Amino acid sequence: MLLEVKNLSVEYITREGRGYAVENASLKIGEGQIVGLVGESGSGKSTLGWSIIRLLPGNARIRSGNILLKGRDIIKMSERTLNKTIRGKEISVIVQDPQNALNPVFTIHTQINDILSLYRKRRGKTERKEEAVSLLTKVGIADARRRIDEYPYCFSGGMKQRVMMVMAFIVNPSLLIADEPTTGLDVTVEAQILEHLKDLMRQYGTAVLYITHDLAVISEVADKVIVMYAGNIVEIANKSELFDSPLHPYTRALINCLPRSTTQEDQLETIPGSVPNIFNLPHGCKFHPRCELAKQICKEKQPLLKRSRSSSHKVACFLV
Amino acid sequence: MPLIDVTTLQAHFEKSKGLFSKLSGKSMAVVHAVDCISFSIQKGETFGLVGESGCGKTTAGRALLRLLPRNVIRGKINFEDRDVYKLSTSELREFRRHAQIIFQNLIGSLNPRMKIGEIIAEPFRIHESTKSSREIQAEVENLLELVSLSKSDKDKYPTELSGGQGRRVGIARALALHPKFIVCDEPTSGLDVSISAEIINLMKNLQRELNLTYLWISHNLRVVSYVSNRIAIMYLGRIVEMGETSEVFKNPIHRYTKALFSAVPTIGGNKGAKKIVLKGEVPSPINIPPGCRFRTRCWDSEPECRRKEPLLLPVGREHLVACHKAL
Amino acid sequence: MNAKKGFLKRFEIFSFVLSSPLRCSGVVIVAILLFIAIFAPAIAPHDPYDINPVNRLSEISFTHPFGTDHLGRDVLSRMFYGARTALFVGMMGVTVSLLMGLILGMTAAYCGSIIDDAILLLFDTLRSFPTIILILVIISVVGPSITNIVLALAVTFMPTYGRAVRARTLSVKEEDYVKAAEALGARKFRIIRSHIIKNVIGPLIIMGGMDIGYMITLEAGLSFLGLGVPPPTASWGKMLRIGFDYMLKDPLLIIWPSIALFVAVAGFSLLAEALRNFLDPSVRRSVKGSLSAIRSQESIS
Repeated sequence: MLLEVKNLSVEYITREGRGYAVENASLKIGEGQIVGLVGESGSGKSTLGWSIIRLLPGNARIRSGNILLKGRDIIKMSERTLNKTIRGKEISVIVQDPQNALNPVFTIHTQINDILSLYRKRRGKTERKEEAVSLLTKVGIADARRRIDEYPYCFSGGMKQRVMMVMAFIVNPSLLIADEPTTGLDVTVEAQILEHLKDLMRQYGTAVLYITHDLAVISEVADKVIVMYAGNIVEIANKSELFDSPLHPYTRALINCLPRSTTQEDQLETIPGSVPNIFNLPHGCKFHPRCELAKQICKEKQPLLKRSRSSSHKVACFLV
Repeated sequence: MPLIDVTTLQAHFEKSKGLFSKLSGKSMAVVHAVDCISFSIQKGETFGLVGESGCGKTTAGRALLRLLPRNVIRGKINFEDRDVYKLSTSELREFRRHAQIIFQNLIGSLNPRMKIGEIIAEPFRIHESTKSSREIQAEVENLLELVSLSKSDKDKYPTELSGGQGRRVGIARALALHPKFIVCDEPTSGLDVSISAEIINLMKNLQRELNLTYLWISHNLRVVSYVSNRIAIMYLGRIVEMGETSEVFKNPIHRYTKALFSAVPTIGGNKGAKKIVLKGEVPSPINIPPGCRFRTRCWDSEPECRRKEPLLLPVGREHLVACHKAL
Repeated sequence: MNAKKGFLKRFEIFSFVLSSPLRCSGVVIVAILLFIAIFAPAIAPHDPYDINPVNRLSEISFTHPFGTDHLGRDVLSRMFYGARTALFVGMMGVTVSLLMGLILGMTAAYCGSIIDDAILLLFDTLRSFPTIILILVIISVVGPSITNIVLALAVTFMPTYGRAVRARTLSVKEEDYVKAAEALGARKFRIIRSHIIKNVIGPLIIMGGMDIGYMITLEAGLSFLGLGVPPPTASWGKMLRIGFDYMLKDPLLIIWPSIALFVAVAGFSLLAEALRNFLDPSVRRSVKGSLSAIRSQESIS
């Protein structure tokens, strides 16, 4: 097992109070697997993702749990070890807003070369540039040889995201954490990026943790899906299992919210209420105030993730 | 008579140049944001304007409400049979009561230094200044209720609101003067799926209750196909396909429309159909390729596509396409 | 719950101020200075203009806690009246300057083309003069009086504020909420009043606050050179001059006004800094983050 997260809990400390953004989360990612982490805002998905490389804001604390990458616990590592062996080496990241991820005062070439020079120490300058140009061409940047010497402001959002992907894969990571990489991009650009992502993954054999709020994108890329709500993992299943027979009421409601047919009359299904504030989480099952099936036990006790129909399908609900 | 009738609308912006370019006599760079589009919107319908960034849909929406200076506009925009850009100042004020806009920017379209109550009260203070404070307050509270916000929200500042709440304030403000027509610029962008569904339901209900006509601008195909009666797909400033939503959806003809529909991620995939992935990027609106604008990315182009720009022509009942290979 | 929050907001200012001794001292100092300046006639032990050659350069005593100057005038009373001058010039100078900058800056931003160019030219011309020279030129033309000094200082500082206003107005003008007001049919005047000014004035007030100390120093400097407020008006700068001239005979004379200037400038600077920190949400949150910071982590786009 490439990555194993066990009972991870992350707390935020603010002037307005303390609250758990992630509570008791456990998941596994195998080599070369694409795992989708889905949830709406306030679900804790980004916090969970960034905890894996321990790049959290100053007011966040990992309160409990283990994060085992190939058996070694990331939580117990020192910053120095993390920087030397994990960040940008075993695990790389691509972020949501590519606009600000590239340094505006250096050319694309300089930034890619920055990484290449560390990983291709034996190769010469020209060889490295060739590799960079060929990688950029592979991800669909036309006229890469000329464009590689341009500055980030000349590149569109989609192109910058492609550069980010190239930079993330050059280091040959075993795991890529992609935090909402195509949110905000046009649909056709998104389709292109996802294609290239899949190609790069196959080429480098990298596993991906794909964090997003878009269920439909997940259904197109992921092998396994993890659904989060208010800091808890509520369902884990293979893609086909999840979409054919979603078990958790939240997952089902989420799938039903998406407009699908072109009939004009129906009202869209919605989920009553709103996502709870992390400082004011409900007792028992976090989803119970919005769940139409909620029973007494749901208000009192927190359901744990347990196996359901098949060994790969787990749900945290008393009513399943 | 359609409520809105647009004829050969054009919006060209000149990019300002520095001193040296002016001196050396280089010609001005012109951004062809909207290039000769014509369509009409019937009373009571939802007309969807779809396209990706840079296609000109937002510019078109703003042009309809005369939010662009006159010198960049060419063509005619008729509201209830009167040219919007030829209205006098007082007629224009009247027009503003009837035609409103909901901005894409959730919180940014609200003045950060004004309370919500004041923001919603503003339309009344502008147009119905004779009303007393108390009457205006009552109207504000009515509007808050209409969009499912609580009365206590009127003392909050925009930065204290969530995205969904900010959107509702924008809707309330647009509805204040009982308009006939609302331009909805990306009403669901930036919102969670469940909130997005609530907003869509709200807007549909309001349309029914208040007899509204919507121009629904969005790049979210899933939502637009759900809400619109008719739909127009824009690419690089032109309409490439237009017609009844269900018809266009079932039978997309323009290659761009096909690619667009195919690119939308759907649960369960496209049931085996291979996804069309376009190559390349959208050309710059300053340097529009000659002939058909989509030619550079089309997998089906022919020499004629380079020579002549295709016209938007009917291919069926209520279905128009701008493509040489449509028929 | 919400009413309670609003109630607490007012106290937020107090708790914010009290949380740091530095901020606290800024507020306290300015408050004391204002009190002294306003109530000087009531609290000054003697008439500051009362010349008493017999008593000149006397030592610290009960009747004259700070002694007397070379003309026998009570130093403490002159300090109090000097505070009036300093604060009047500092605060009025900044206010007038801000107003002028606001009007010209917004006009430049809104009218564009020739008017914009002309106003910018005015700003740049004024700024190209060294500060003191410009002030001296203006005063020598219009004559030294407290009003003229305020005017001279105002004109000198106006370009900086004007440029800041112009830049801010240009960007605020393009914001969506301004477009929204246009779409509602609001007339230009209403837009400027309700939307533009509110969003432009914030940083300006902080800039101005910081400059009050600077203006106080300038006034003192002018008076020291003999080009400031005309006699017999009391001014710390003039007292500095007297102290300087009589340094060997009565060394304490120079110390009192120096302390006064130091305290005044420090006080106003600390106050301005506290104001800036208060209005700047990222600093206000201090080390511990807040809900909106977490929200932005989880936000969709």
